Amino acid sequence: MDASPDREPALRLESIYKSYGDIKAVRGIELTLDKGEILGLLGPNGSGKSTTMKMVLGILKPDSGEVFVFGEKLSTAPVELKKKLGYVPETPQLYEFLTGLEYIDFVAEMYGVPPAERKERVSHFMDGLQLSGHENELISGYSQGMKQKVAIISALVHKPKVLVLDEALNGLDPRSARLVKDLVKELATEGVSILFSTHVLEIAQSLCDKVAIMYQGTILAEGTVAELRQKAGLPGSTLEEVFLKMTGTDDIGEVVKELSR
Amino acid sequence: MARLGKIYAIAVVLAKSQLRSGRSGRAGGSIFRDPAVLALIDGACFAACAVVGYAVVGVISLLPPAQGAQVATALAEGLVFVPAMIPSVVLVAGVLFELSASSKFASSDSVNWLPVTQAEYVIASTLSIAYSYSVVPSAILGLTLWPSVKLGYGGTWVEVLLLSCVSLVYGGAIVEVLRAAINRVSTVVMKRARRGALVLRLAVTIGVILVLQIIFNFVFLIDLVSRFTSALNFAEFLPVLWASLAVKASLVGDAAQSAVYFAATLVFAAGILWVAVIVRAKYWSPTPSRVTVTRGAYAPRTRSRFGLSLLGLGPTEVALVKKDLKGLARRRELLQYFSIPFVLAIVFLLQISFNPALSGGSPGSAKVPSVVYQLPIWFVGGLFGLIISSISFGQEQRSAGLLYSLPLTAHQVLRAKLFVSLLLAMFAAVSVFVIVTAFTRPTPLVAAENFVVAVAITTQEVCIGTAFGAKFPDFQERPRPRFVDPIGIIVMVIVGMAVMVLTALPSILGDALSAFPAFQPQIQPLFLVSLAFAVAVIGLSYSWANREVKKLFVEFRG
Repeated sequence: MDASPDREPALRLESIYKSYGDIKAVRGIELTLDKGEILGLLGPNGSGKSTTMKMVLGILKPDSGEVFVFGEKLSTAPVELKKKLGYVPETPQLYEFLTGLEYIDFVAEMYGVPPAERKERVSHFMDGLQLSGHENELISGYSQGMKQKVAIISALVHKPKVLVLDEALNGLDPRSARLVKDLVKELATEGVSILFSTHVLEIAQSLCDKVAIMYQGTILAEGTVAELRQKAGLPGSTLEEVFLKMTGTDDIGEVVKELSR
Repeated sequence: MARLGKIYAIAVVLAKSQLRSGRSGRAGGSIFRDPAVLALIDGACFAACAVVGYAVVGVISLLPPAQGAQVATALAEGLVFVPAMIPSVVLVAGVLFELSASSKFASSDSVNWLPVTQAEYVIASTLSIAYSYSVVPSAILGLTLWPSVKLGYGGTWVEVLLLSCVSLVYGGAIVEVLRAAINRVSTVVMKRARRGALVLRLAVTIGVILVLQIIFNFVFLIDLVSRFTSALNFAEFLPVLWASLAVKASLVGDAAQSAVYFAATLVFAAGILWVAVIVRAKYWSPTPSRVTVTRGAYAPRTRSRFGLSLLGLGPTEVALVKKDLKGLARRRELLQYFSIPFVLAIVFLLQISFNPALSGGSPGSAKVPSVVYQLPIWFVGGLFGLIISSISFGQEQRSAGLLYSLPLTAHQVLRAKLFVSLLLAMFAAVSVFVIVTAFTRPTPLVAAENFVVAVAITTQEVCIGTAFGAKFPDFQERPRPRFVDPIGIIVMVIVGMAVMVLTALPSILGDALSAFPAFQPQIQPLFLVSLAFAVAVIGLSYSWANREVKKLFVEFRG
C-alpha cells in the first residue's frame, strides 16, 4: 500500500453491486467519505441506502466491488476495521432482555473499551441523553426514542473514526435530536467521518457537508447543496425541491388531487 | 484467534436471553434473571436425583441377588448410553427452542456489525446452549451417582460426567450447524424459487431438521446398524457412539481403549464445532429477500375459498385463521413448530420400519407392549397440539397491539386461535394414527378406541396450550423469540403430560393387565370416565382461555 492511512479517505466504495434475487438493490456505486466529512445519503424508500450502509459495515457482502476503510479492504480484515466504525441502525434490534446499561457495556466490551474509560463515557452519555435513572431497566420496556438513544450511545462508546447513522434521529425528542445533531457536527470537527442517511431533507441541508442522492440503486448526483442546485437547474431552491426533481417524484400535486377524490 | 473475554461476554448475553422474559421492569434484584440460576437449578436437580439414586440403592439391596445383578447390568447399560443420548436431547430441544430467530433479527443482530469473529460467536452460542440444557445430564448423573459408586463403577461415573459435558457441547454445536443450514436454505430458496419459495422452504427446512435428527439419533443408528451386523461390532465407525464405547471399555476395565475412544470423542466434538464455525462464517446471516406471493390483481373474496364459514366460523374469524395459517407457513421463526409433527412422525416411521422387533408383526406377537404403539399418536398429536396452541398468542409479537385494537371480541380471537391449532394438531394426530394402524393392524374396535383416545388427547392439549398461551404470552421480539413465558411452558408441559396420562390410563391399564382377563370388564367403563374427564378438561380450559384473552384485550386497550 503506497498511501498512508492518514491520507486515505475514511470510506471508499468502489463499484459496489448488490442484488436480492431479481431485484438489483445497488448498482455500481462509487462513493468517497473524507476524514471529518459529513456525507448525507438521501433517497426514496427502497433506493438502496440501507443496503449500502450494511455493506459498509460488513453486515452484507457486495456481489461485486469493494469497500475500503482508511485504504484497507473491509473484506480482508473485517474485525479490525469494524472497530473503527460505529453504527446506528434504522430500527435498532437491541437485545431487549438486557438493561440499557448492560447492552452498552456489552457493546463496549466487544469493542475493547477499558472498564475505567467505559464507566466515564457511559455516564456522560447517559446523563446527556437523559437516560440516567432508566439504565437498569430492561430495554423491552423502553420507548422507541429511548432505544434509539441506547443505539446512539453504543455507536459512540468506543470513539469510532467513522460513524454510520441510518435514520439515527428517528423517534428522538426535540432536545435529544438537537443534541445528537450538534454532537455529530462536533465529532466531525474532531475528525470523525460521518455517513448520514435521513428522509428529513432540512436536517441533511443543515448538517451535511456533501449530499449524495440515491435512486433505484444508483447515485444520481453528489456534491454540496449548492452544487446539486446547479445540477438540477434550480438555483435558490430548497434541497427538497432539488431532491424531488432529481428523483422524478415532483408530481406530488397531481397525486394529492387523485387521492383526495 | 478467539478471545475468551469476548466469548464469555457473548455467552452471558445469550444465556440471559434464555432467562429474561418480563415485558419490562428492572433486571436487577432477582436471581431468576441471572444466568447463575441455571447452575443453582443444575445443583438442586443433581442433589434431588442423587437422593432418589440413594433410595434406589436401598431398594436394590432388598432384592434377591439374581434380580440385584439384573439391575446392576441395567445400570451399566444405562451409563453406556448417557453420553450418546445427550446430543439427541439437545438437538430436539434446539429444534423446539433455539431456531426461532426471524430473518429480520438474524440479519440485523448486533453481533453482525460488532467486531466479533465467527468462531467467537459460535463458541459462545454453543456454550450458552450447552449451559441452558445442562439440567439433563445433571439429573441423569445425580440419579446414577450412588448406584455407580455402590456397584463399583465410580471411576466410570466420572468418565460419564466428563463425556456428558463434551456431548452437551457438541450437541450445542450441532444446533449451530442446523441454524446456519436453515439460514442457507432460507436464502437460497427465497432467491431462486419465486412463487413456490414458501412451500419449498418449509419442505427443505423439514428435510434438514429430519436429516440431522436421524444422523444424531443413537437409537435409530443402533437400529440401522443392527440390521446389517452386530451393533457393537459396527459402532466404532459411528462417531456418535464413540463416547458410549469409551464408557463400555471403562466398565470392563479396559483403560487404554476407553482413553482412545475418549480422545476420539473430543476430536469429533472439536470437528463438529469447527464445522459450525465454517458454516456460520459462510452463511453469517440470511439475506433478506422480497417474495412475490401472487401477481394476480387484488380481488377481495366474498366467501372463504376453503369453506371455513361452513365450520361455524364468521368472516372475522376466517380472516384471523387465514392470517395465522399464512404466518405459520411463511415466517421462518415458526417453521420449526410447523415441522415438529412431520419430523416426529417420520422418525417414528423410520424406527419402526428399521427395527425388526417393532415391525415384525402385530403388537400381540411382538414383545413390545401394545401401548408403545399408541405413544407416538398421543405424543405427536398431544405434544404438537400443546406447543402450537401455546405459541398462538405470543407469536403475534409487536402486532399484538394492532390485533387487539381492532374491533374484535375475545371470543372471536379465541375461536380462531383454537381452530388453527386444532386443525394442525388433528392433522398430525390422524396422520400418525393412520401410519401406526397400518403397521400394527389392530381389530376395528381397538382401532376405533385408539382413535377416540387420540382425538380426546389432542383436543384437550390444544385447549390447555391455548389457555396457557393466553395466560403467559411473550410478545417480545428478540434474536430468539420464545412466544411463551418459560414458567408458563414448564407448568403447561407438566399439566399437559398429566392430562395425557390420565386420559390414556384405561389404555395403559388395559395393556398392563392384559394377562389378567378377569380385570378387563372393570377397565372398559374407565374409557367412559376418561372421555368425561376429557370433556371436563376441555370445558375448563376453554373457559380459562376465554378469561385470559379478555384480560389481554383489557391490557392492550388500556
